[in-house]
Amino acid sequence: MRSTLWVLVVAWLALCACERAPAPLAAKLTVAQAMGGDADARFARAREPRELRFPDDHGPQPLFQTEWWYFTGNLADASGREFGCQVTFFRRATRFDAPASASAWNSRDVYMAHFALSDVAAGRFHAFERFERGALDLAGARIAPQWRVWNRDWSASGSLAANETTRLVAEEDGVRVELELRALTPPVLNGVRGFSRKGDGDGAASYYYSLPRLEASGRIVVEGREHQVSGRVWFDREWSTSALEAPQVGWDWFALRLGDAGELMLYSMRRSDGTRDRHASGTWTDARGVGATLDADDFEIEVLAHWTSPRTGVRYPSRWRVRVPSRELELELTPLLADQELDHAVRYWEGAVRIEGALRGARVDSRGYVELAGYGS
Amino acid sequence: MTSLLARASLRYLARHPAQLALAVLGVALGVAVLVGIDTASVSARRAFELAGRAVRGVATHHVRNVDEQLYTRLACAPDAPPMAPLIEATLLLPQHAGRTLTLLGVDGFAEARVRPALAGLRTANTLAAGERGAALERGTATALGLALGDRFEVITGSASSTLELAAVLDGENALASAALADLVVVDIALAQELTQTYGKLSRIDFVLTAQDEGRLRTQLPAGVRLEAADAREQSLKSLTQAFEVNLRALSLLALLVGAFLVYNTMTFSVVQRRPLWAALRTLGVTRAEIFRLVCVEALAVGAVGSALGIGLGLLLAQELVRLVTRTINDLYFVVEVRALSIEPATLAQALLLGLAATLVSALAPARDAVSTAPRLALNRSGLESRLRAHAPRYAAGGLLVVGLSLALFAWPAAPLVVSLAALFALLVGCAMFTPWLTLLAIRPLAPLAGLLAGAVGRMATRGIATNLSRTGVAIAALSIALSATTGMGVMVESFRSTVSRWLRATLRADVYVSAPTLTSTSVDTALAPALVERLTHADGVAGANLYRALELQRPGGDWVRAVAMDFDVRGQGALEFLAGDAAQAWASFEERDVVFISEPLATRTRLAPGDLLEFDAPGGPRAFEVAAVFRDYSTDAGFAFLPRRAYAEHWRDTSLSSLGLFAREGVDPEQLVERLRASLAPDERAFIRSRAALERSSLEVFDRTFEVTHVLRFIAGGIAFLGVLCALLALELEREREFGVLRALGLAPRGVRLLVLLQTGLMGLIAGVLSLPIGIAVALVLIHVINERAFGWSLQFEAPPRVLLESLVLAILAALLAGVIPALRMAKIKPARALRAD
Repeated sequence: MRSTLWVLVVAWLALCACERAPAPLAAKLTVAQAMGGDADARFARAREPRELRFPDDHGPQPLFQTEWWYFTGNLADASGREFGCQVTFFRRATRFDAPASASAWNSRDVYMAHFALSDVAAGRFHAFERFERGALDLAGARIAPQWRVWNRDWSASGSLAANETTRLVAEEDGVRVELELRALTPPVLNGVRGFSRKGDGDGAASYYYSLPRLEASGRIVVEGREHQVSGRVWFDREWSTSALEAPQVGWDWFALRLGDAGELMLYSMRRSDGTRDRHASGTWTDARGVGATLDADDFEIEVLAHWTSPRTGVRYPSRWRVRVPSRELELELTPLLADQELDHAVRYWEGAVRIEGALRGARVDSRGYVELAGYGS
Repeated sequence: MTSLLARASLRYLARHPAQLALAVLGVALGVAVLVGIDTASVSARRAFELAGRAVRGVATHHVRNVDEQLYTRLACAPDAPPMAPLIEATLLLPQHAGRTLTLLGVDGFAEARVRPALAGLRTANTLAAGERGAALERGTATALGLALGDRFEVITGSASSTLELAAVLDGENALASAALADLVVVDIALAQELTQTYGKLSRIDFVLTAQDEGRLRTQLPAGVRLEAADAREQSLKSLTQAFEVNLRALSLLALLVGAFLVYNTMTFSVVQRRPLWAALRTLGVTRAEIFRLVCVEALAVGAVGSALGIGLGLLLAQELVRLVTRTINDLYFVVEVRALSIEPATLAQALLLGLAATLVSALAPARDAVSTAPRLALNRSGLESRLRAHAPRYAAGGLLVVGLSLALFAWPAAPLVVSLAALFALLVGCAMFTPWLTLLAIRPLAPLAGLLAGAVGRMATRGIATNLSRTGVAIAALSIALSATTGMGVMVESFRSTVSRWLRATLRADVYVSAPTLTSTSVDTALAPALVERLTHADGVAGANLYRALELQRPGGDWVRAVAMDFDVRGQGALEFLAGDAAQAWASFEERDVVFISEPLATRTRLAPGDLLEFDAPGGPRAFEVAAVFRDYSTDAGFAFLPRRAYAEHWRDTSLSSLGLFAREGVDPEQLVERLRASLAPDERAFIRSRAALERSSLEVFDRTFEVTHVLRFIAGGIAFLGVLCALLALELEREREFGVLRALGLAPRGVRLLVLLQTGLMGLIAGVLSLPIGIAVALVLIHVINERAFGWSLQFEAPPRVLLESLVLAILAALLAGVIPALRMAKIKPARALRAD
């Protein structure tokens, strides 16, 4: 349930709005804290399917309150040394109207970005966070003259169309990722033609599509060494104006590569009592790049083991069995590093996993990404 | 033997508690002034440093006054070091007695990188764009009576606006809280709105490694200088150094007068115990033992007095810190002192100085105690006659000391400390003259007093000469204290009348308009363009001088205050040029890149007409030819006038900070002021004052500046008074028998009272008269040596008779007052008891 990671941003900003006294930054937010957020009625809402147009919809959606651009990649160098990487750009409007002011620093938008690198061989996980206002070109998103999303010098720019390239760059504290991406599929629409329902309420939904198969090559610099890498990157894109509905507290999200057979995205909402919410869904992208929606009943996710973060004390699931009986798929997912926890303003676990199992009798051994939000709340 | 000596000493001290108490008090007051002044200055400096640190955070470097686009360019560059933008300005709280705070406009997201103390603001509502939220330190908010959600009015530049307390800041500890105490933190966009500085940043702060530093320098455009984060503080601090040295000198003066008191007391106690010394010597006590005994006694007095003085000084500091801070705010920079910084070093230093002063002033009496032969020592008149005989020799010694100090004054490159030391030498040298001059004065006075008051008059006069060991010291102490205060008084008066004359010459416009700030130091307050337009074109306004106050940086990194101005023809006579040709200077001011520099700036930079003064401008350094040096007393930091045309061109800034308006012929300035005030919109704030009002308020600032010297004068006068009282009490004890004889011979108690009062009055008169030339000498030194060297100001000497007369009257009154108790006690003496000893 990637579709509501924006909730994390909402949560962070919700605190801004209601907590008048300065809260220590250390105070982590729970996803549930975000649930009361009331958006300005003038914001557009996702109420029904609409036609998504490309490349325009890659660009900003200022009528909606929240949106994000999400890259997760599984990469390796020529010697087989593995890396996982995540670069995410979020936008959140704090109000509908831009403030009337002559100051260029004024902006209604806040941009948050996360950058993480899993250095599997070294057993290290590097994670960084950035906030900037959408002012003075410090951070922003645009479609013309060329598509570009950025937060200071972290950026994704170029074109996601077939046979064109996107450049993804992020660097902090000597950790650098610099990739050229080429889309091998057209955008795959999740939910109903890209309309993804999150709850029962009016507008409790988002527009959500993915480019699950981006061919990636480039370099990674970490701990003073440069690695030429290649692999696959998954791009997710979503925008909406909505709040979580009680008693949802978080979600598990899976982006799984199935070798030549395609990709599988699954999300599962969790309620405060730990059970799965009925607003869960998935998308099966076949080898040709054509997507098909999976309903909550089409898949099962079983947690096989847990891991407790020594840093935060939060207990996360850390091994899963995933079944899609109708497709004769059974997989076991194991994190490549146990600790891929992002201990930021909003705390979550997002990491590269090994995928082992069988699809219609054929062996699967590949890589993917898992996101676990709302734990420890 | 030692215990016998100690017992003798203790018994003596116990029998003369008043003497002892006065000596202790003298040291205590001297030390108290020292501690008070030092603690006040240190507290102000410390508060300034703390405030600097809060604003600086962990930043190592910064650039100042840059376009905001530069921030984007640097922040978005690959591998950019941590940096944060900042708007800094002075802000006034009109509802809280015009308290001045520092407005800090920050980008909450960037703060964590540079100012961890403010990082908590990330989650506060202050960030929300379009809101009016502000954050205050908790203690400040409480002091202002503000709770979260409360609104408060602030004035920045000429605009009044309302902020809302959206967050309170807590420092991690008391020090950190103190550092945040005078800040109002708002979002950077709001700060730009409040200060009307769109497109500009006051600073970008960086946290740089040596490697980053080199790289960053190559990324900066021409005219933008990367500075160490505390460079500006350092240069501001060095400006106040002269001020602090002067304050310290004044406090040392108080200690000097206190030392005279100790000298007086110790001399008296030694002289009075002459029979005891003689007896002890005949019992075999060595000279060294007696010498040591006197020194130990002095040290005890010094120790008790110093300890007491430290306590008193800390009390005094509470009051002085207010005065010192106000002067610093008026003259240098805005600083808010929340708490006294009590430095162990200050206290230790004061203790040592107190002890040293007592010990040094006890050396002469101690030597005296051991230098006389046992038999001779029993004979008191021997001492007096010897002293009278030595008086000319002391005077000669004094002449030598005075000569030495004059030589030091003549040394043009002498450091300030040396000049101050010479000033002390001058005072001590003059004190050495006193016994001889007293004897000289007595000769014509005796017959005169005889004519007026008969035998009592003659006796009173001659008594001064015959008891020179007591009266001489008292007169010296009083005249030194008086001449110090007279000197200061004459200097302040000269200064004031110079400034007042200068104000009258300089203030040529009829109405002055400025942004409402309490301090004359802010350069960041701008008048709204619409307001300027309306005021300069108002009915009854014939023309205007336009000013823009600035701080410009020289390529060496040094900051210089400057005013970019557009002078109306009517205003051109306002400047009095000390160097440079006026007509030529004004002609080139119209056309070329020239500057007029104030006298203190010329002194500080050693620039003269024809030299070039360079400033960093956005396009790179700009050279301005110095066309003239003008007289100015507005700031000892000095400043430069440059043509507004040139400033607007090179700095691309046309904003204004103040105006001087000329009234049309026949328009009453006061009425014009009223009309202009009435034309202000409800949210506009500006000080609109007539020339007379501005002159008055300028002199008020001046008077405030010297309030601290008044306090010190008062204390020094108090110590001198104690000195006289102490000397007279000594004399009284000494002459008990003499008065007994007089009473037995038929002198009525009234006669005794008259005799004592006449004598003390005469002593006061002599001290007062002596203090006048010494005081004038001190004033001359203060004016022509100290002020010129420390501040670069040339003042016109002026000794108003009022100040001189004041000294004289003060001297006589102090002496008479000090004589009251002894006179009353002498008159009550029972002749029989006084004579019984014989």
